[in-house]
Amino acid sequence: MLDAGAKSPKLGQRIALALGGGSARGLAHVPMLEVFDELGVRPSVIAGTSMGAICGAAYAAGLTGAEMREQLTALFANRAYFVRRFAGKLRGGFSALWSARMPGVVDPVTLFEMLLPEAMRCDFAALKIPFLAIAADFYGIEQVVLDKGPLIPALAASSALPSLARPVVLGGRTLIDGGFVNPVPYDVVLDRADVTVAVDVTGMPRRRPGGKLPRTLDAVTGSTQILFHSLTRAKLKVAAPQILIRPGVGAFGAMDYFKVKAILAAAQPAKEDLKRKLSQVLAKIG
Amino acid sequence: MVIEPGMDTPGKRVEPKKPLPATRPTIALALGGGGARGLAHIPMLEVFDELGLKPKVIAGTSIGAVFGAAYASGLSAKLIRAHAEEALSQRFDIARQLLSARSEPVVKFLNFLPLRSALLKPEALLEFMLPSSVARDFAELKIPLKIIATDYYGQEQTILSEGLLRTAVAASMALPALFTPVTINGRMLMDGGLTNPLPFDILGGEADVTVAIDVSGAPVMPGKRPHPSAFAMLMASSQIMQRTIVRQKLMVAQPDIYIDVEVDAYYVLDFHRFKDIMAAAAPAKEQLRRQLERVLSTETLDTLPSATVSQPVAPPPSHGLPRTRRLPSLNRD
Repeated sequence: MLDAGAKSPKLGQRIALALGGGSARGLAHVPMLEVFDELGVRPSVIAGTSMGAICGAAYAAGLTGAEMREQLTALFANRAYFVRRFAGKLRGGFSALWSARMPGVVDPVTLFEMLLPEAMRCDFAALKIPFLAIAADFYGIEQVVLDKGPLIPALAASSALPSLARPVVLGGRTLIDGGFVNPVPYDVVLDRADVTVAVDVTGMPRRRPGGKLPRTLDAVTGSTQILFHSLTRAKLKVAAPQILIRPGVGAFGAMDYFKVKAILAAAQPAKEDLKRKLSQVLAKIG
Repeated sequence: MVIEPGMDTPGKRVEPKKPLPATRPTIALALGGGGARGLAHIPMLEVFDELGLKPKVIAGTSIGAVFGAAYASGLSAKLIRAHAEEALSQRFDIARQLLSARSEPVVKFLNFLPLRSALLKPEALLEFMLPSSVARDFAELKIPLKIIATDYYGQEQTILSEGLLRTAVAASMALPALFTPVTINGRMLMDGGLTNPLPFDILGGEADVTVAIDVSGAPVMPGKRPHPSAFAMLMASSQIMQRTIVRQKLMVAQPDIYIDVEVDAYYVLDFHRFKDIMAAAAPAKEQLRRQLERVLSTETLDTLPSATVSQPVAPPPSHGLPRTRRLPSLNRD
C-alpha cells in the first residue's frame, strides 16, 4: 500500500506521470514507479496506454512499485506456474475467453478479470490517485480518455490489440488499444501538472543475423512499432514533457513476459536516470 | 505530354495577351499514401492539367509516389487514368484477382508460409500500374520528385530523390507482409506511410503554395457486424495511426490547400474498384479546382510598388493549433 508519509502534491509541484504502451516491455514501468515510492512523491495524476494503463492503474489503486515487482516476477517466473494459476481461475471454462466466432482472439475483459489483483476490481472513483486510460475509438478514429466507471473494462479497452484481443464496446463506441492514437499519453496530463514525466516503452524492430529480411509477422510488428515512433515524434513537435524516459527495453518482444527479470534489469539504468532527474526537479520546485 | 501555362499546342508557344505577373505562385504538391484509395490522386492531377498548372515539385508516399512518378515523368493525368483503367480492368487478371481478394485469402495464404518474408515483389505490381513511358531514373523527370520511404531498422523516413525511379517507388509502397522490402544503399526500406503518410512538411519553402492530397480514409462501420475481422482490424488500425500522425503534423504546420478525399469506404487493396474510387473523388476534385483557382486569382495580381518593401509578417501561432482558415476536418461525422 502507498506509504502514508508520501507527500501529497502541493500547488506548484504537481507531477503528472504518463506510462506508454509496449506490452511486455511495459514491465519496465514498475522500476519507474519505484522511483516515486523511493523519493516519497506521489503523482498528482497518472495517464496510461495499454500496458502503461495496467501498471498505472495498479499504482493508482494503491500497490507500490515493489509490490508490483514481486507479484509480476512471481506470476511470470515460469510458464508452468502461470498456466496453473491461469487455469485455476478459469471458472467459466475456456469458452468465456474465446468465442467460436472469433477464434484465436481473446476477450480482454474476461482475461483481465482473471489476472489482475483484487484491488483493481473497482471504479475509477475508488482509486487513490486520479487516473486516465487511453483507448482508440475504432470508427471515430480518435482518442478516448476513460476516467470513470468500472476500471477493468477500461483497461481491457486500452489494451485491446487487434488480432490478439477483441475490441471492447463501451458507451456505444468500439474501442481498441490506445497505442494507435496515443502511444505515450503525456499530452493529456500536461496541463494538469507542473512537471510531466513520460515513459516510452515502444520497441524497435530486431535485426536478424546475417542481414536476412525480417519474417513476415516480425515485419508487421516492426512496422507497427515504427508507426508508434512516428506518432510520438510528431507529438513531441507539438508539445514535450519535461522528463522523457526511454528504458532500454526496445529489443524485447511484445510477448516476452517470461523474461520479466531481464526486462526489469534492463530498465535499471533508466530508473537511476529518472531518480536523478526527478530529484533535480523536486529540488528546484520544492 | 507536359502541359505548361501559356502553351496551347506542343512546341508552339502562344504569346499571352498580358505578360504573366511576376508573382504568379509556384505550387508544391504532396500526394499521400492509402493503397487503392490513392487512385483518387489521378482526378486531382487532372485538375492541374485542366488549369494548365505544373507543380514546381512533387512529394509522394506509397501510392502517391506511384502517381507522382508518372506525372513527374511528363505523362498527362488523362493518360495515367487510361493506363490504370486498362491495367486494372482487363489486362492482368491474375494480379487483379490477387488484389481484389480483399487480402483475406492472401493473408490466409501467408499464414501457411510464415517463414516467407513476403508475398509480392512491389516492382511486379509497379510494372503493370505504370505505363512504360514513365522515367527510369530521377534524372529524366520533368518535375523534381521526392519519394518517401521508411528505413525499417533506422525507424525513420528516407527521402529518395536520385537514382533508379522504379526502385524508389517500389520501396515507398512496400507495405509490410504483402510486399518484400527494398534494399537501397544497404538500407532496408518499406512503405513511406509508416513514417510520413502525407509528405507536405518536406516541401516547406519549396514553393509559394503547398497542396496536400490526403487519401488515408477512415475505417467505416460495417453493416450489421459488431466487429470487423481480425485482419481488417489490423489494416484499419494502421490506417488510424497514419491519420493520427497526419493530424499531429497538421498541428505543427499546415499546407495552404488541404484536400481530404472522401474515399473511406474503400480498402487498401480495392484496386479493382477504381471506377467507384474515381467517382467518390469527384467532389474533392471540384474542391481542389476551386481552391487552386482562388489562390491563383488572389496571388497573381501585379506586384504593387509598395509591396516590394518588406512588410512585417505575422508570426505563426505559437500555441501550435491549426489555423482556423482551412482547418481540415479529419474527424468526419
